[in-house]
Formats: sequence, C-alpha cells, structure tokens
Amino acid sequence: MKQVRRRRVRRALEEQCFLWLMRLSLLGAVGVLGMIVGVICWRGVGALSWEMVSSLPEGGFYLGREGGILNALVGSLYLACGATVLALCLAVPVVFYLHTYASKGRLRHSVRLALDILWGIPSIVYGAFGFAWMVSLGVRASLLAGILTLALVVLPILARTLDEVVEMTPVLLRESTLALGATRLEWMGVLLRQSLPGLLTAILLAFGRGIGDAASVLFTAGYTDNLPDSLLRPVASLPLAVFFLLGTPFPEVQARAYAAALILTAIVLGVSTFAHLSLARLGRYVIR
Amino acid sequence: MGALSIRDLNVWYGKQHALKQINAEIAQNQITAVIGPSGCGKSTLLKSLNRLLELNEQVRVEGQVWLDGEDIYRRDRDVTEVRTRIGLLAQKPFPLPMSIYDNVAYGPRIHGLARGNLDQIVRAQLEAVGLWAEVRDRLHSPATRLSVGQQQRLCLARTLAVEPEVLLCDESTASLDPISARGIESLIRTLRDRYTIVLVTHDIDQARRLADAVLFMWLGELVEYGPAQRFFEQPQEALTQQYLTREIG
Ligand SMILES: Nc1ncnc2c1ncn2[C@@H]1O[C@H](COP(=O)(O)OP(=O)(O)OP(=O)(O)O)[C@@H](O)[C@H]1O
Ligand SMILES: [Mg+2]
Repeated sequence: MKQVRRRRVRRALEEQCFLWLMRLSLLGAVGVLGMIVGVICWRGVGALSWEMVSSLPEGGFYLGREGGILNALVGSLYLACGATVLALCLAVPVVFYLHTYASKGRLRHSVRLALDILWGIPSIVYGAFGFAWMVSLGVRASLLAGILTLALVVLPILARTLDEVVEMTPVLLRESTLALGATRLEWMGVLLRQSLPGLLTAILLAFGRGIGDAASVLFTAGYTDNLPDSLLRPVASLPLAVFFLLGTPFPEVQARAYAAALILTAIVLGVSTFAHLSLARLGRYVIR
Repeated sequence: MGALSIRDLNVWYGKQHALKQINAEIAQNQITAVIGPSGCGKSTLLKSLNRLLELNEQVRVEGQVWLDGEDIYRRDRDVTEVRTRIGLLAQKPFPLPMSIYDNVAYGPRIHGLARGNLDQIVRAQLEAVGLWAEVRDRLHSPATRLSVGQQQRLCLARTLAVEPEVLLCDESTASLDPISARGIESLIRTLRDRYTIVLVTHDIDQARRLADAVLFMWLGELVEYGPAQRFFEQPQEALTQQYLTREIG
C-alpha cells in the first residue's frame, strides 16, 4: 500500500519536473526571439516614418539626410516573389513526379538526399555560383540574376517541405482515386488538392527565407538607389539595405537600419498572417 | 456482361507467395462472397481483380483474369479502362478531398460520361444509395463532414457513377455501426441484378445472408468454391466444415 502511494508521488513529481523543463525551453525560445524583435523595434521605431517606406534615398540618405528605402522594399518583394514563383514552378513538378510516376523508391531517395544537401549549403556559395555564371556569360548584376540565384536557394526548402507533405497523404486516397479509373495525371490533381495547405506552408517558408537572404543577392542582384525598372538592371534589397546602413558610423543612420529590419519583419509577419487566414479555406476539403 | 474468369493466378509479395494457383469462374449478376481467416489473401485476390495490386512496389502477379473474354493483364491493356469497368468499395470509406457533389461527379467528369447533365447523374447516384435526402442541402460542403456510414454510402455512389460492370467490396461494412452496415448490405443486395459483385467478408453470417456463391480461402489457396447453398449445407472439404463450425480460423 505504502509502496503504491510512494510510486504515485514519484510519478507526479516526475511529471512536474518535465513540465517545468518544457516551460523553461519555451521561455528560452520565445524570450530570445522576443528580444530580437524588441531590439529591432526599440531602436528602429524612432526612425520609422512614412517617408522611410514611400520614398527613394536622396543624395545624403546614407549620411542622415532625406529619403527612404522604397527601392529596397520594392526590390526585395520582386526578388522574393520572383524566386518563390520560379522555385515553385520547378518544385511542384519534381515532387509530384517523384510521388506519382517514379514509383520506385530509389530515385525519390536520391533526390531527397540531394535536396537535403542543397538545403545545407550556405547562401553565399549560391551567390558565388551565380556570380561565376554571370561572369562567364558576361552579364551584370541584375534583378534576373538575383531571382535565379535566390530561386536556387529556396528550391530545396520548397521541394523538401512539399515532399514531406505529399508523403503524408494516406495510401488509401491514392487507391480510391485510381480505383475510379483515374490516370496518374488525374491522381496528381487530386493529390494537389489534398496538399494545398502544405503547399502554402512550403511557399511561406521559401518566401520568408528568400526575402531575408543577403548573401546570395550581394553579388548577383547588386544594389541601386533607383526603383527596379528592368530585369537586366541591378536591384536593391532590404537585407543589403540593413547591411549598408548599419555599416555607417552615424547613429541616426544605424537607426534606419533597424527600421528597415522592422519593415522586413513586418512583411514576413503580414504574409504569414495572410497565409494562415487562407489556410482554413484551403484545408476545407482535405482528408485527414 | 461482367463475368470474371480467374486462371492460374499467383501473387508474390517479395518472396512471400500470397496467392497460390487460384482458378475460379465468377458468374455475372451474382454475389460471390470470399471468406477465410485473416491474412489468407482475400484482399490480395480482390485487388488483383482490378489491378490495384500493382501499385504495391514489390508485388509480382502471374496468371490471367479474364473479363468478358479478354485478359485484364494483357500487356497492351489500358489499366484505367480495367479499373473503370471493375469498381472497388474499400473497407474504410475514403472520400476524395472535395465536396460531396464533386466526389460523385469525379468519375463521370474524368471519363466524360456527363454530357451536360452532371446534376442529374449526381442526384441519381445519391438517391440510389439513399443519401440524397440527407445531403441535398449541403452538396457543396466537404465530404469529410459526413458520418462514417454516410461516407461509405457516398463512396458507393462515387463508384457506381463510373458505371462499372463489376463491383468489388472489401469488408465494406466492417468499419460501420450495425445499422449502417445493414444499410450497405441491403444496398448491395439491390445491386445484384445489375452488377457482378465480389464481396470479401469476415462475417460468415453476412455471407450466408448475401451470397449466391462462396469462395473459401486458406493460406493463399482456394479451398472450396461453390453455390452458397451447397457450400453452407454440404461443404465438401474438411477444412471448410471446420471453418464454418468455427473450429479453426
Ligand atoms: N503490401 C504487402 N506487402 C507484403 N505482404 C503483404 C502485403 N499485403 C498483404 N501481405 C501479406 O499477404 C498475405 C495476404 O494478405 P491479405 O491482406 O490479402 O489478407 P486478407 O485475407 O485480406 O486478411 P484480412 O482478413 O486480415 O484483411 C498476408 O500474409 C499478408 O501479410
Ligand atoms: Mg483484407
């Protein structure tokens, strides 16, 4: 009897212990992230103004005079959207091919491994790779080159996430679709419907990574104080704007860097919120 | 239309010989029940009849299955045509990720059977499975919102909408409550006149209630196959007798 009670007390204690450990981890994770956002807000909010997001850098912008970072804002949106769309155009067929036509597991396995490796490569390497190509082709830094390079950076993220999602589809769904006499292409259509929420998540991850990446666009997209007007001209981006602004010795210009970082964070937050809102709609028909 | 002839059918999963030399003639417009203990190869047999088995990566099928004078395993045979003519109702209802309406309309759409009167087809099929009254106001809500029993009826409607000749049912009532199960059962009985039905069941009593012919399997082999009355009243094989009296299995 006594033993039973002691055992019960010990198990309750055990549970409390692990509960608090988990809470501590949560606090640590959220705390650090909160601190980063806090610092960005605290140091950037002062410099944030309508002018900042609505105008181009004037002559003395980097010395603390008039202007904004509209060039980088628009440039980053172009780069990230372009790269995500491009990577999507590759990732969707690749993943769906692997899961429908290439039924032999070995090919799927190798492609997965390759994507995992690509995921781990630092983006500066992609940048250098893109730059080497540009040099050999005689192309200057441009929006196009930036999009192409950035697409390579986000492709593994998009493809692998989508791959995991598609992998999760119930085997019976495939059986019941094909049992109706569907071709594999038609099955792909059903699979796409089933994977829509996951696809959205994958897009979100890719976009977030793409818009925040500095190293890959440093050599390939270049930088300019103008709005992007052609695929073949250089384009500015927010991460690089942050980088350049932080590099100045003037505190009021450094505050602008934090403001730019804040804008970047706000974009990611906005896109992510929008995605989560549409997730409910897209997931309406999904079979669990 | 819809007579099946299984000839020297052998199936291997890797090295495991799951179906051994099966030979059987399945008559049209009859209910043929496949019974036997768990793992004896009932589902394997059923899936080999509409070539769903080959979705499995390591499976090997030998032998022939003739549908109305043509081998469905013939090399140049279009597998989607086979599966269109031989429909399957699975053990667990598995709706497509679409609305109730689209679930039924899916088959007619891909096979071009609609010819502009899709609404009528959907309605007719839903009426045939007794679901119309329950879903008529929410045709466009997700199929997953239905109860399991309703989902199974929806899956039946979806299968019938493709206009198959043969209907395969793999323990289609096993995951349902008794009332829904009886519902599906009486539906299947009404379908006998128009389809050839092959039905796998664990439930000997269900086989008694429904079957015109019974096929008894044991460890991948066909032990006994014959008209239901003879099968239940005068089983020829000792193994069958023991199974029916539940001494084994
Ligand atoms: N995908 C598979 N891979 C390997 N072996 C399999 C596979 N599916 C079935 N088997 C094996 O083949 C044999 C027959 O399986 P099957 O599913 O046809 O049995 P069953 O009669 O339908 O059983 P139950 O009544 O439990 O559904 C079993 O021994 C099983 O282990
Ligand atoms: Mg089975």
